[in-house]
Amino acid sequence: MREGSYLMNSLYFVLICYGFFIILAAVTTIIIMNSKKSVLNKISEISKNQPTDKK
Amino acid sequence: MIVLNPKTLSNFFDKYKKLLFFLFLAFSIISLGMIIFIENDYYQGVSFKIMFIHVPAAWLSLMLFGIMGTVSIIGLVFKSPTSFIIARAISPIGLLMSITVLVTGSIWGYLTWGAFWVWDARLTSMLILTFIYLGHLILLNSFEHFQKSDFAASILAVIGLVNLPVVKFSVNWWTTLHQGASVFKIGGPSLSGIYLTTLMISFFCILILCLYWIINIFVTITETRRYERRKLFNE
Repeated sequence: MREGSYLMNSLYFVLICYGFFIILAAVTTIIIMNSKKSVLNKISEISKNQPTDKK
Repeated sequence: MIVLNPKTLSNFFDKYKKLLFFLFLAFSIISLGMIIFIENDYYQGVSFKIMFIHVPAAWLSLMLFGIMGTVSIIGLVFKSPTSFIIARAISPIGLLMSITVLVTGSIWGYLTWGAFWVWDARLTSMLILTFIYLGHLILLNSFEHFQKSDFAASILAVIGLVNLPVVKFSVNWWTTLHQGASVFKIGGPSLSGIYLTTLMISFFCILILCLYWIINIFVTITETRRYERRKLFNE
């Protein structure tokens, strides 16, 4: 009985570890991709607003 | 690296981003499958499965710091902007890896030793490495002009290189609670076949993820600088 509860306890901690890493990875990916997207958007906006020299 | 300018490297990285993402997906499915179905360790039970995140994250935090220190030296010697941008892109990812090592290691320590933290040589040197990463990241954002912050952070990265052998050999130099090396050691790895394979697949999975992040941060920094330059010319 005690052994079983120790096993469950260990399993919870292992799941916490994997959960922590998965959340960390997901949040990091979202932050990186969002900041990249916002910079690329700013660049495309500035390119659109730039006056062309063609005559 | 000295010849390549940030824009050329950024374009090169951009081509392989999707490939890296799909490789990561494939490796993560395989490694998760292996971790779920692998047999528990006789002594440690299920808690040993923490090793498949903890060990790759530890290797990567050391490896990334080694690369960061090396590119910082190249940047300082040759005044190469590409090297400084690579160091800038590696810094937050190295910090994430070292935080992962500390968190997963604490949980593993609680299950195995009965304590979340002990002032053991390996744990303490790893904590110092995390603080160096944190200091590096703070220095990168402390100055108004990026050239000054690159210079200051690079000096810290070069000094921080001294800590790498301390982390690696702490288990040999001092009597520690943390176990000794079981993969990279004289006489070959002491892990048996399937465990070693799972560990290596998990390592490659996290390595590819880190590369994907670093490449995207590199591209973001390069594009931000291009945007700032354009804005300056427009004004």
